[in-house]
Amino acid sequence: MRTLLCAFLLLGALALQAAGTIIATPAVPAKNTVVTFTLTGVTTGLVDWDFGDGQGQAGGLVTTHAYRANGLYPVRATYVPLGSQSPTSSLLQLRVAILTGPAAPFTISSLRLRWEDGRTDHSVDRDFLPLIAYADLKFEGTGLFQAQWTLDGIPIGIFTEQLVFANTVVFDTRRLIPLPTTDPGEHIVSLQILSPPVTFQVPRIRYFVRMESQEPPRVDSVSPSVLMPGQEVELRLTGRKLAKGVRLYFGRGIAVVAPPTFPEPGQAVVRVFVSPTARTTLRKITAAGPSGRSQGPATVQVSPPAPPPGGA
Amino acid sequence: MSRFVLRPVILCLLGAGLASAQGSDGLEFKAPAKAGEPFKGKVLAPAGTEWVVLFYRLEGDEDFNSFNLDAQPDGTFSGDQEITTKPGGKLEYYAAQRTPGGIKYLPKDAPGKFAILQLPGVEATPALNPTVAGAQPSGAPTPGTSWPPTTSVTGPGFPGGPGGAPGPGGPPKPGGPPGASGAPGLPGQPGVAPPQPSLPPNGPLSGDFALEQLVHHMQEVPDEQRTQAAGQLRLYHKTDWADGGLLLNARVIYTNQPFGDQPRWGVGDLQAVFTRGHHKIQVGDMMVQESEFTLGGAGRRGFDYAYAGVPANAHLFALNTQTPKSTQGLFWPNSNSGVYGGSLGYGWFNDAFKAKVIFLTGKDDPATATNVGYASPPPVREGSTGALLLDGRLLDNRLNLSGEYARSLYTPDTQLAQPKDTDQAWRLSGLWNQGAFSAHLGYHEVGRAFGTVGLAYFVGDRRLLDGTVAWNQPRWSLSAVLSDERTNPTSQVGLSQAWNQTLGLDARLVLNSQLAWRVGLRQSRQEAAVVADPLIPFSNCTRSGLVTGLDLQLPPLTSLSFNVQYDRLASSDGTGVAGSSTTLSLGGSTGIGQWCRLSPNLSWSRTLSEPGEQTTTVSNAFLNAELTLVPNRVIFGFTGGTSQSALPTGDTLTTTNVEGTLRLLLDGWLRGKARAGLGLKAGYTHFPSLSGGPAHDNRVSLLLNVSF
Repeated sequence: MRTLLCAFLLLGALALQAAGTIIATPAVPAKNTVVTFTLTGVTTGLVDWDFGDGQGQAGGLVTTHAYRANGLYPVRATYVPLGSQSPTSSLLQLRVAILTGPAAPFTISSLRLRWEDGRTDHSVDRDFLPLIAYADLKFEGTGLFQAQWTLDGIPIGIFTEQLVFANTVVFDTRRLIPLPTTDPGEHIVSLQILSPPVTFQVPRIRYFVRMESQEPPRVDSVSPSVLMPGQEVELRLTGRKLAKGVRLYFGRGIAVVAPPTFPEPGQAVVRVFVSPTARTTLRKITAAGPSGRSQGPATVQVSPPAPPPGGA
Repeated sequence: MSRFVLRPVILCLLGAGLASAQGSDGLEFKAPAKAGEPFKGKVLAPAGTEWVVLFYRLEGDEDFNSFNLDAQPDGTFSGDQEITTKPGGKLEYYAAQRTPGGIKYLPKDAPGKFAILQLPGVEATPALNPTVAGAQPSGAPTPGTSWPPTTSVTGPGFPGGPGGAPGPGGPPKPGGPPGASGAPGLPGQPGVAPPQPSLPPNGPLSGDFALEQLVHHMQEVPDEQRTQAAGQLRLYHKTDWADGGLLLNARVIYTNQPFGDQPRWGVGDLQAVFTRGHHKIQVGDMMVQESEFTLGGAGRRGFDYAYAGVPANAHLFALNTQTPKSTQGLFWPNSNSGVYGGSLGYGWFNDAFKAKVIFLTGKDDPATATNVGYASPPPVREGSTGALLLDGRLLDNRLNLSGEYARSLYTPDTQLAQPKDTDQAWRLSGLWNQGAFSAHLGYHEVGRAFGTVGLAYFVGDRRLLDGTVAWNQPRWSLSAVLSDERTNPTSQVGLSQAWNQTLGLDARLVLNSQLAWRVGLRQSRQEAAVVADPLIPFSNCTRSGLVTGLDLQLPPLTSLSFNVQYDRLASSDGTGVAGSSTTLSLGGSTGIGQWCRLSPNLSWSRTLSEPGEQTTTVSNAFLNAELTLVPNRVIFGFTGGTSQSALPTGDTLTTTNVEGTLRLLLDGWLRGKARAGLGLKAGYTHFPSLSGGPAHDNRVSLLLNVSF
């Protein structure tokens, strides 16, 4: 009796396995996002897909669909298993939801492309370095983000990132090569998102490469920005056109004591000594290069050592 | 001619005898023997001294100028400096040096006391031309006129304005000695800046135009626009005066192929900035930053006034919350997307302790933003936010403590029929800096209903505790990051709670002057207290990541970066859902002499989703190159890339796009009045066809570029 029962269960299990399983990715999609259905555990040719929202498709073991409204949808795959004569169906109850926060499906809520100043168009000199584009991204859930920056429709490079806990993040093109500025004229930059699928049109931004060289190098930020007399300190600068050949000045009483290095375009590291006789003032940092020089906007403040609270 | 050259100064080098001063501590400073030669400084430095800087000023001046002394084979440090000064005067000077035992000064009691160099001669009538003694210019000060202290001792390049900032400068001395104002004569850092104009060379008005005419297209498109035109006109005017200045900057752009509903004509930049003393007024485009819980971000436009006094300061603003189109909101923001407010700040103990109060109110309609994509239509937000900001620097600036408390009356969606809600947000952070070591500890708590229209993106209902420790040495750096984040910190009923903990370690090792190695590790876990749906992947998960790479710098033209990154997410709710990705990239730039520059980038990425073993592989190669065929005449440019995607379905999609441009530069014929180029561009495209099989296309265009 026990043997018969085991055989019956085994046959039942085999029969169930033969029915195949539908896997949805993502398992709980948001509306208007592309969901991929995969029929596994069965060998068959043509599969008739019914997405449960009145739409269907005849295709293979993998198909995709996007739902326009939230709700519970019965997704049915009908097929004839190899070696069988009669059609078989597999069913998946799919929930399409609006969810936000860390426990939501992994989706991109919004994407803004911009230049450093927040604008969507930019003008640079020929051979300007580094030209950097930024992407402000807001997302829900947790997942692996994969995208590639494109220039005039040509992919420059791919990057991946773990996006976790429903947050905002800023990406930029620095992790790839700087955007080329050798070709004068208008160029268009965009971000092609490979994963997760997005339902909106990804924005584009443009830049114009001038033939004339006008812009001098510029220091936008410095760290640390508060210095004390008698101190020798390594300053890390970021800015535009900071590259070999650019000279940096911090005002009287601050001497550059080692050649500046430029780890990458737009960054400089310089060691300075603040003389004990340096005046305690705010100074704009001057950068000079072949195309001229500029003061600021980055500043360093020479401050006297702070007296103890309550002291004279 | 430079106003500094016109200054009534006279060289002290009038054939007088050599003046020199020999300090008792091995410091020597000599005036030149004859006109046109520089002053000479020399220091007998102990072995192992890294650098020596000599500071000097004319007696009575407030500021010291400086120049670096270079190490000599005999163990001394010496250097030259051109100094324009008065005869018969005195130079006060001292030297600072970095020795193995720390920073030392010469004379030993400096800076309490300085060495003196008595200059030869007697004070004479100031001359227009410093190399011609006794020639008195018209309008020059008469003898006895007191000269501005900051100009009576000047370096050749950067005489220095207020605060030591360089001015237009005198004639440069190519490859000459270092200039003043902390401009040492280091390799690649000559002390004198060339007298380059900071204004556009063609005056306040400049323009650029690009025209592309399609002359051949293999796959012709009906009604295709065969002419592409783009350009810009820029008006730039800057005036500086003693305690302020005026900047006017406007850029009008044109394209005949605008995106979507954007107009063909637009405004790229538009700003006017007026400064006087501590006051600054600006209208147009700007970037603003008040605090983490109130106002920040780029791409703002509107009106802004700031008073940057000491110890009190103030700020008033009326800005657009989004980047508006065209000239909209130039002086005052649009009523539907405007934020209005101000701040008042005060500092104590030389600004070591600062306090600031901020208030803002307004309305934000994200739909008015240009160039933003949304998954669903964003709601209109409205509300007011007030904040108190405290900041203190203690223990010789080694410790920085800051805190912020903010409260808002706010609604995230004005269309919801519910009143505005009030809530709070606060944070505390401490930063310790001591030499190469730094440590940071911070705590943030943001209430569920807290919000501000001053920030484009804001995530509320959070509590975050994070800490960082870092060591930064010239040869290596090491940092560790810890964070613990939680949603719904007030445990409100009906809202899901979730936790996220992350540990990260990063290290960078400089292997030699050309090669550096980076490595980073991440380990994280996430847990949702109330799982909205067990099928949502990664709401409960563990994550790990590894990134490593090499940075190669081969001066002067080559830099390469190699990167490998592995990430894995695994659901921890028993569903077996997991995802991983491996990404490799190699990119950089290199050059062969002055005639060839290459910027390649190769990247490859594979993602794996489980269960189902669905693998997607994407790889691409990109190259930007420029080849100078005839210097300053003919250039060949190339931009191209190919991308291949292998999908889980087994399909492989390949796209290739290359463009080559032969450009003839017309600069020589335009005699410096403008720059222009004619070009012939050929492009080839290979892409997957919807009807099956690959498709090809090619096109040829004529180009014209003009800049003036």
